[in-house]
Amino acid sequence: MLASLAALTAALFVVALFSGRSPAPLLALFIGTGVDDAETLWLIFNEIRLPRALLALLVGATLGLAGAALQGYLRNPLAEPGLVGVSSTAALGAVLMLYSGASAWFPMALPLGGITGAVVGLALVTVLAGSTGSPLTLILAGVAVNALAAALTSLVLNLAPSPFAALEIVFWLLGSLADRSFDHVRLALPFMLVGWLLLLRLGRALDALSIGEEAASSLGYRPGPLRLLLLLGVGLSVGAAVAVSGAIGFIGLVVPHLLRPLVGHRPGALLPASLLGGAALTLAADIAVRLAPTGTELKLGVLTALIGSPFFLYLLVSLRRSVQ
Amino acid sequence: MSTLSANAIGVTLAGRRVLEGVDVRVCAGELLGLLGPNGAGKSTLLRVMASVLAPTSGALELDGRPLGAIAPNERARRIAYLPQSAVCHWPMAVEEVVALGRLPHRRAWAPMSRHDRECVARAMRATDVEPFRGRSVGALSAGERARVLLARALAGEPRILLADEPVAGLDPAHQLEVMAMLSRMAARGAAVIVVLHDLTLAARHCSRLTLLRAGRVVASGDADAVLCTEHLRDTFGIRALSGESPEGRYVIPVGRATP
Repeated sequence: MLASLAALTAALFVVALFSGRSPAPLLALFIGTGVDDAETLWLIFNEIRLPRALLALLVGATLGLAGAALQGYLRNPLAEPGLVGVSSTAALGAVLMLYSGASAWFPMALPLGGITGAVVGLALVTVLAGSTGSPLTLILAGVAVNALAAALTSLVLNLAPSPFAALEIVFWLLGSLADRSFDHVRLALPFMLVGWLLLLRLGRALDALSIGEEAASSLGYRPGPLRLLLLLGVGLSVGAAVAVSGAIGFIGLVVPHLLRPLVGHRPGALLPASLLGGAALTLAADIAVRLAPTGTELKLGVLTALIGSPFFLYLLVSLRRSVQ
Repeated sequence: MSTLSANAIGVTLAGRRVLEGVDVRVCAGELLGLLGPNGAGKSTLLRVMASVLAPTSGALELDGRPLGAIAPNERARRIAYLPQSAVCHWPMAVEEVVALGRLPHRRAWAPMSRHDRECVARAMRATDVEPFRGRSVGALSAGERARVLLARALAGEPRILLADEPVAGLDPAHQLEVMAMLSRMAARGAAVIVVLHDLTLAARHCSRLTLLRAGRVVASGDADAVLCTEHLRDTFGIRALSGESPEGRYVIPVGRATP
């Protein structure tokens, strides 16, 4: 199961490297024939295609893993990475950089602002949620932080100096992996790796939680530290993902849900599967936006929402059916 | 040989005094029945003894050592707790749910050892859930699910078992089977506390009974002493048909007690 997901991800990664508005010349680079300007092509490959494919892999893996971890922790298949509020504060941080114009003279200000927003949001949610270890206070803290960040983002849009500035902010918020560089990869990677490690280690605790909080506690998993580790893992990895890509929705909701029956519904087994599945789906979606015959390239976040929201409706209907 | 003792336990939940100065002790080889009407504090006491709920006052000791000084994982290996509600949030396979009981025994990232799998198989046999080991817990009846979760608690081969109403929702044959299994466990050297509402099962299978009422211990001892007419009337508010049969003692509630 994990092996076939890994193979699928690897295959999509290779396809992503060769997908673009002009696929043929790049392929020729490797075949070694008919290349006029090898240097330019290598430049495109190294500076554009490779970081974009890497980011799709990393962001997708993060969203899949974080979604699976949150669904397991809350024992709710409708939970998704945005729930803890860190995505909104990361987006707010990035939006502030766009608004202030900082990102115009220093491009990396945008993701740096995102990371700062994520860290501030994480601290805020941790403090608000308290130390009781209850999932309910975590959700409430997430809702509060989400609402605050959304209000401030609206304020920034409202105060935008020109319609173009507002449009730039809105476009960034849609979520995309276009025109990213290795600097973005380098910035996000450490946060993501630490977050992944924290979340993957929680597998057994999430397994134990499937028979209730008290049974899990009697199996040696204390609720307070467990929730803190989950929050740190989700906050660091998702915060970094949003900082470099904007808001890409539904990956974290859909991937764990699709894979859950295939791993026998065990939350711990779902974590590595969703990491790979998230990467595969995001790579596939990012290939699709590049190959789709639309005049302007679709934003990745728009495509995932277009596919994701009908899926969400389907999920609700099937849940309702299973309740009846 | 294990002894778990709760000394002078007091618990206040949402401003209400739920337990007050409760002393309970269970030793290896004992099957202690915890009795009392709804709201007497039985489940709260069990949760405290399982370290799931911190008491407001009082102390817990495992073999003379303060329970708080024992690492959670070490504690989990020795004490198993079966909560009252038989929930499983995901439709996992029965065998996987039972295997959760092995978690405290497994090293990080290590797969199940042969010994782990043997323990899981033994627990499934003891609770008669082996015939549907591959089925999803979501497709089971409430009684079947209760037995699966009991198997989960047994799979850790605990020296102390705290079981909150393990026979609730079970058919008569499985109620008898589970009680006999708990007796065997105690006979083999485990210390078992079981919360029960069936007075006959309690009288027949438990080696000792403790009766709680409004958060205090009102009686502790053998069935004759604890299930006497006065206690049935004052604590449970019932009249009961009680006596000895060739098969053992029986206590059948027949009506509300007239004050």
